[in-house]
Order: sequence, then C-alpha cells, then structure tokens
Amino acid sequence: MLSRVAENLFWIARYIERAESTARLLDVNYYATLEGGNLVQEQWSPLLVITGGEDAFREQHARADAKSVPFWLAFDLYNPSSIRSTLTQARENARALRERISSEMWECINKAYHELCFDTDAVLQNDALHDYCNRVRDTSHLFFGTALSTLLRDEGWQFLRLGQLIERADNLLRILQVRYQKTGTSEIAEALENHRWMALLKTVSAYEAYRKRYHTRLEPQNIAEFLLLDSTFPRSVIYAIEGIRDSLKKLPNAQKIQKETNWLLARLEHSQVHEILSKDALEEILEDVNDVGAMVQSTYFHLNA
Amino acid sequence: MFDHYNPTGFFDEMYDSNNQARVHYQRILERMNGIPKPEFERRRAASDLTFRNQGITFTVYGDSQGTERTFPFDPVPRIIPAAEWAHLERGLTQRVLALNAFLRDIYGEQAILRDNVMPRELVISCSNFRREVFGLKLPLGVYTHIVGSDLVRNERGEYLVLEDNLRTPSGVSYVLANRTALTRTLPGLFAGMNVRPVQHYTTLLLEMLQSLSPRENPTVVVLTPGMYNSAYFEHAFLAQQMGVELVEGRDLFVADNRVWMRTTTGRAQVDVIYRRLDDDFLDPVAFRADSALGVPGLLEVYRQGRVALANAVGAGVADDKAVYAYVPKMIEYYLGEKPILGNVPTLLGWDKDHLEQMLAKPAELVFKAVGEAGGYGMLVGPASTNAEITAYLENVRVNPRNYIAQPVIPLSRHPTYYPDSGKMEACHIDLRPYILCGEKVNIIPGGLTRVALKRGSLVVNSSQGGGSKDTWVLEDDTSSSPTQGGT
Repeated sequence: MLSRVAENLFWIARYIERAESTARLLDVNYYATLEGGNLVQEQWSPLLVITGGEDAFREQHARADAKSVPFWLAFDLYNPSSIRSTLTQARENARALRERISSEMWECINKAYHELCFDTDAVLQNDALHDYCNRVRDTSHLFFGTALSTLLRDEGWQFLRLGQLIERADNLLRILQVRYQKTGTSEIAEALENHRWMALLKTVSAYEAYRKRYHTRLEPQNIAEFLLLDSTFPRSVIYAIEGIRDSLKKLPNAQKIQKETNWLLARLEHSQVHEILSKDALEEILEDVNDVGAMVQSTYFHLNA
Repeated sequence: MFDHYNPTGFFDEMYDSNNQARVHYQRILERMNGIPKPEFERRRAASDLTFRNQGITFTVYGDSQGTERTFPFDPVPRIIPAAEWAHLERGLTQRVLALNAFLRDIYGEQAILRDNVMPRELVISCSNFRREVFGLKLPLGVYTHIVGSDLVRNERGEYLVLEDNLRTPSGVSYVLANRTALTRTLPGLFAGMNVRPVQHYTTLLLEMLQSLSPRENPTVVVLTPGMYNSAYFEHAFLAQQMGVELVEGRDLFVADNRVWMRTTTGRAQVDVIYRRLDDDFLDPVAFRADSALGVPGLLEVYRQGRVALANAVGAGVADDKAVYAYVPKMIEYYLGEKPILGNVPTLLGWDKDHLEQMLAKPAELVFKAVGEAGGYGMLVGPASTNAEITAYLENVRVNPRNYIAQPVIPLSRHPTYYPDSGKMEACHIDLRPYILCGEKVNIIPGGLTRVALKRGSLVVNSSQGGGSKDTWVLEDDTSSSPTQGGT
C-alpha cells in the first residue's frame, strides 16, 4: 500500500475521532453548566487544557466563557482541533484518497463537511449546539461503521484502526489528567462533585455502561478504573491499547512498535488503579501512547527511497 | 414544460424544421410530459444533491474561493439514433487511426513533411512537439490511447470535428455519473428504449492500459497532479473503478532504471502509467525543472521501454489547433480514404493570407490559442466588445503562429430544463466521444454532451459555465417511436 495512502487513512481516522471526542466534551459540558449555576463557571477553562491550545485560545479570545469556549472548540478555524477544522481536514484527506476508501465512506464525510462546516454562526444563536454535536457524533459513528462493513481488511484498515484508537486513548487520557488533578476541593458541595463525575462519564459515553458495571454511587476511583482498565468497555484506554496491539500484528515490520505496545499493555494489566492515579502515571501512559503514534509514522509513512 | 419551447433559429436536436418532434425523441417526450412539474422539480433537486454529496465536482481555477463546483446536470437526455452513431463511429475510428499514423511518422521518418503534404515549419514549431521522443518505438505503435474529439452540429445538422484532444482529455467520468444519475432520477424514460450501456468503459480502459505493459501481470497506476487539479474527481474515480492505485509524483521514484512506488512495505515496480499530467510536468529532469508534480528520471526509463505512458509523450503535437487543419489531408495521405467527418474551416495565423483575413473581420470569427484547451485563451468575436477584440488582436499580431480563427458555428440546440424559469429552453450543445486506442479502436456509445447553460452562449466548457446531459445511443432505430395503439 502507498505510504501516502496509509498516512492519509491514519489521519482521517484521527481527525474524525477527534471531532467526535470534542463534540462529546462540548455537548456534555455546555449543558452541565446550565444546571450547576455559578458554581460551575470555572468548568470552561479545563476544556481548554484537555483539548490543548490554551495559549492559542488566549490570543483570539479575552475570556473563557460559555460563548467563547464553545465557539473555539466547535467552529473556530484558528483552532486546528476545532470540530470544523478537523472535519475539514478529514474531508480533505478523504478527498485525496477517495478512490481508496469505499464510496459510502467518502459520501458520509463529504456530506458531513457540507452540512457541518458552513453557516455555523447560526448554531450558537439558535441554541442548536446539542443537535450539532449529536450530528458530529453520528457522522463519526456512520463513518467508522461504514468502514467496518465496506472497507477491505487490508493494511489500510489497520492504519485506520490505529489512527482511531491512538486518538481515542489520547483524548481520554487528557480528560482523566485534568479531572483527577484537583482532588480534595472540600469547599465544593458533594452534589456538584457528583454532577461533575456524571459529566465525565457522559463525555465518553460511559455513564450507562458504568452504572451497569458498578452498582454503587459515582466513586472517582471506580470511574477511573472503568475508563482506564476495563477491557470490555470499547472507549476505555486498555481497550484502545489492545486494539492497537491487534492491528500491529497484521502489519509488516512492526516488531519494535509491538514491543513498545506490549510493554505498555503489560503495565496497565498489572497496575491497580490507585497506583496509576497516585503516581502521576497518567502522564507517562499518555506519553507512551503518543510514542506508539510517532513510531507508526516513522516506520510506515516517512520512508525514503 | 415543453409549452412555448421555441426550436427555431438553429438546428434543434429534438424538433425538426416543421416543429414536429423527431421520431427518436417522441417516446421520451410523451413520457416527460406525463410527469407533473412539481414531481419533476423534486427529482431534479434530489439529483443535484446527490452530485454534491458524492463530490462529483470540478475545481475552478482563478476563483478566489478555490472551490469545487458540481457540473450542472440536465435531466433531459440527448438521443443519437443508431444509424447516426454508426456514421460517427466510422468517422472517429478513421480519424484516430490517421492521427496515430501521423504521430508515428512525425517522430520517425517524417514522410508527410518530405512529401510536402504539411509544412515542416508548422509541425516543428508546435509547442507540444517533443524532440526528446524522436525515434522511439512505442508499444503497439500507438501514441494517443485515450482520445476525446469534440464534435458539433451545424445549422444543417451535419457533424463536424471542432477539435481533437489527444493529451489528457477529461470528462468521461461525467458520462458514467450522468448515466447513473438519470437512471435514478427518471428511470421510466429508459423502458423499451434500448439505450446502449456505457459503464464498461473502465474495464476497456484497464485492458487497453494493461496491453501496453512491457511485463506480464502489469502494475498499472493513474498519475494525478493532486486533489487541487480541476479533474481530480475523475482521476480518483477512474483509479477506483479500475482498482488501481492513484498516485502523485511524490509517490513514485526512479531507481535501477525502473519506476517504483513507495509503499508501506518498501518499493513496488510500476509498468504502465495513465498520466493525467501534461508532458511539461512529467519529469523535471527532461522538461520543466520547476515541476514538483512529476517524477525525476521518468523519461529515461520511458525511452528504454521499461515503463509505458498513456498517452505517449509528444502526442500533443497532433492536437495543436493549427495542425488540426491538416487532419483531413492526413486521412487521405495515410489511409488513402476520404474523411468521413469534416473539419470546421480554419484560418491559420501562421499563413500570411489567412492572417490578413483574420485581422480584417475579427468580429465574425472565433479566435483560439493553438495550445490551449478548456475554453481558455478564446475570443468569440460576435460576443466581444471592440476593446476586447483590439486587446486580443495585439497578441495575435505579436505571435500569429499561436492563433487560429474559425467562423462561428451555429451549434445545434437541445431542450434543457431551467429551474429558474421552470421551463424547457433551447441551449447550444456539443458532443465529446471517448475513444480508446490499443490493439483496436473502441468507442463507448455516445460520450459527453456539454450544454452552454448561460442563455445564448455558444461556449460549453465546464470552466465557462457549461453543464452536461446524459447521452443515449440507441441499439436500433425502431424502438424509440411513440407507443402505438393495439398490436
């Protein structure tokens, strides 16, 4: 398979997964702030930390509030990770390999581009953010679902999976990093804490699944365990790493990356969740995930003649 | 919808001079009249949306938006009766055989120049004449494998060849897309009409490309300048339909006298390149050094016969608009036959007498730059202001070899639906058939009918606001007349 095509598939998956991840984050937080009143006004800054690019945000916007942050995360073309930017990028990438992906996959992303990347001013004005975020999420599901049933299971499929899973693990780890930073802020009411953990779970579509798994109250440590180490939950970190391992098995010349991935997986499998949370291991895991991403790039995409 | 349609003034494809629908149109006319207008409009809008969602677009150069546009599709099909098509098929086959004979000759013995059938200076001065491939022996002796010659019909309905496109003719993807669109939008029109199919084009194309390979089990690729090229959709579409890789210059490299592509598992040899890139950009070592789109060293491998290119390097010398004027002579010279399809009378800036005529009555002529395509570099005299004509003639005087002029051909017209008026209006059309030249000549029935949508305009190019229609060639001429009562 052409290196350029492999790289494009990898990135198209990352962009779409990122668009979905941002849409979830935004959707849940936007509506969570409505109920919490003034107490949750400081909910907006963490979103910038999670998605990165806080400095770039400050250059464009004076304050992080309920107007500027949603605009930045969803529509601002100055933000390379905004939903609009990532969908546009994904569509550009898809256009460059439209002969390679199935026509259904192309149509899905092309249609989303036309419907979600233009005339976006009206979305916030008309209180249509929830609907918008849902459509972004649906696009991602439709795209990957279509890939699941139409794309040849050749190398291209593996690169698409790698991109999706690396991005998914990366996004979740960033969210966890921020959410588990400040513990013991005792002045905040318990109800609010509960509200926040619920928001976290909903952000990664884990609320219902968590409830089925743990029949207790929203316990931060259980939540972390579920999101990090439960390999039956398809958006957990360990599920993503296992998927990365499986995809690498199907690719040539992957020994080095496989070693790195297996090592990461072994550490996760043999860790207790409190160890990960207490020893700042989240940062380490995030770095390792990104190392795997970098190794995929250097092994397959940037070879010289 | 056909109420108040005015077919007079030009040759109308659907109506004869007595305002009667021609036999081969009667049946679909009856059917279209049976569709209520709101329903017709709904279906037309749905097909527009499909084109947009599928990204069946072209890129407009010089548009600050850098945007893609859909190529407007008109749901009224253009119909060519079987007998008429047989005539076109014979004429086009004859023409491409002569053009290939000419190219073989020009890059070989140059007998046609020696025998003074064509002036040497005219041929040698073509910007698309490539000394670099002189004396090369090509697979099957074919230079132009994929041809799109533009046909028009004059006021008598006579088909004429307006120009030949022998380098990288585009548009065939719209032929296939239009057919798919019309079968979805108005399936009822097709019943019992025996419309000849077109979707086998990509199979024929792949077989032809494979037949050029120097090796068994060849690897064929489509080489595109990239996604910002105006015809990118087509490059991707053809690669997808043939199941071959779509590559850019940066995906290929030359080593050990072979052409390779970069893959995730190392290099893989390439045997046949269907290149949608002009000669100039193919190889920065041999041609334009500033080309970032090509493959350094490609021409040398090509010269050694280790990779095949379609179309061949240098084929453009035969679609130079001044050389075009000599195609009828080529047919007589190489094939010993009378041309079946005529040319449009052409004045050459290169010829002193012709130039005088061109400068004397510019307002009655259409001027064209000889090496351009796509409607660029054109002046339509009767539709231009004096200032525009004066400015254009400046260039003609400075470089007369670069220009030709032709009388304005009153192109035939065809009923076309206008969403803004909600009516059928008469629009000028042309026809670009697609001809494949390998071991034998293959022409898919019909081709691309382009429509000048700007009211009154004679320019059909997509870059100049044209649209297109599905083009039907009928299997036989008995099935198209209206349904008869009884049996």
